[in-house]
Amino acid sequence: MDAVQLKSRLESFLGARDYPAEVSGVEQIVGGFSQITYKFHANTGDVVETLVLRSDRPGGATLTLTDRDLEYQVIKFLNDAGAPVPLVRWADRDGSELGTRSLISDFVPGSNLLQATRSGQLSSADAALVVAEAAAAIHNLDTTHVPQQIRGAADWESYIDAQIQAWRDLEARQVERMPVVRYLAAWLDANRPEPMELTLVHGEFGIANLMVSDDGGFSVIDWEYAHVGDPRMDLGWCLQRGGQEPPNVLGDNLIVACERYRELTGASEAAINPAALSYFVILGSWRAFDQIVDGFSAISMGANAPLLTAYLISPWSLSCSAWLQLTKDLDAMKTSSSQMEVSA
Amino acid sequence: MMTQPSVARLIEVIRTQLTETIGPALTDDGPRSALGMIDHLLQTIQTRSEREIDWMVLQTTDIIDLARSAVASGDVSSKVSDAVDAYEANRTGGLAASQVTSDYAHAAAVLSLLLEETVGTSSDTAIEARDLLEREVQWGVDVVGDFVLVAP
Repeated sequence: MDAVQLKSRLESFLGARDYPAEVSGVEQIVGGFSQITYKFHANTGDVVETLVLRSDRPGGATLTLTDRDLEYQVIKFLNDAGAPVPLVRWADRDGSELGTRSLISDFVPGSNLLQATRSGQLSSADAALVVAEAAAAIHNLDTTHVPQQIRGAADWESYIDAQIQAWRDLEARQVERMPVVRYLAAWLDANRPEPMELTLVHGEFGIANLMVSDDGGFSVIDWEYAHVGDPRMDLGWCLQRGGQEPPNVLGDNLIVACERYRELTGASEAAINPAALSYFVILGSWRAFDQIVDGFSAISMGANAPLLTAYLISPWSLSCSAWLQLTKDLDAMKTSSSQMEVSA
Repeated sequence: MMTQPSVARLIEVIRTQLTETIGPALTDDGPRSALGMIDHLLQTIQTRSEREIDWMVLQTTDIIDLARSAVASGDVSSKVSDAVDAYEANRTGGLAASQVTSDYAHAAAVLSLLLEETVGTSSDTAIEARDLLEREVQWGVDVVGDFVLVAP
């Protein structure tokens, strides 16, 4: 769909919601694997607002599939709960009006935390505190009224079981056995951390999804992977993304960030510490590659696949190496602390 | 028959042409990004073409040797023994890429079981199995070589 068509559809869409407005300045602002995001201005005659349209890529041209309608419900819940999240205004739940399933939210002025740290607007240490505070704001929410569809496991053990099983399932459906994945799943099963109460989890809590304003406020965007789970999944994801997309503000300030998070949530040091978060770097990473690894098998079986899928074999290989190294580091830490206990 | 230039060298020639002749003619981000991905994939193929057969044969041999030894010493369950039997029954012993890959795939199933059964232990079998896993993962890293993520 070109910009003229999109402008016309947006004007019809807004008009049908008692918000007649002239649309201008339609501009794509973010590239992603599953969504296209546009910024645009809506002039009602009384006011000009800047809004964001977040849409599925047309024709199923995605590497990851998520549910825009469910994301709308999650953000509505967050807005009602007063969470630091941009206000969602409307949704095209079936894509009949805007071409693909879409939602429209308020535009958040400012930059994301990745841009802010890269430009020097925020120091790495200050950015890590924003990460801890944003995570705590999400994880402290009462989940009583979250949409039913994002409730999964009944308890912590079941949740961890499901995450480990996701690794095993990923491996089991491929065209060849993958010793590294089998080992990681077995290792995760044998090295479970201290349990925690399940909370709302953002699911893609990288610093590129944290918006910061000039007054020091923050908001969290992109809620397509939200679910109820172990809150350390978000911190582990942030560490993992930081390793791939520097600066790793959380990894570089981990002890301080853990302390701040514990202050704000009341979590124990046994549950929130660098080793526990490293466990979750591995545990949650299956989701980053789940459908991509399926793509590798599809290519092997002769299916036509995007060039990008073949290209992503390299990040997968590098990630496998990083995860394996983490298991070695954590095993070494465990051995070292056991020896200290014995000698004490 | 021509064995020279080698596959690796031919790929290098193609990469040079793509980078020096095709690349500068591209102005749109999409095709430029695709060219970056193609060049990286060719780089990985270059490495694989030179060493992959040799690497898989060695890894397969070492996995099966370790599994036989673990089975003989009673360190592992009958699942490992069954997987070694499956390897023997399906082994091609050939050196064509498809044959080596097939043999290696059966060996990978054996290594997977060895790793699962010895996780969290420090027996000789466990240590050797993890060494083989590390070697496998390192091979993947070696194939990647220089890597800077190209935006989609």
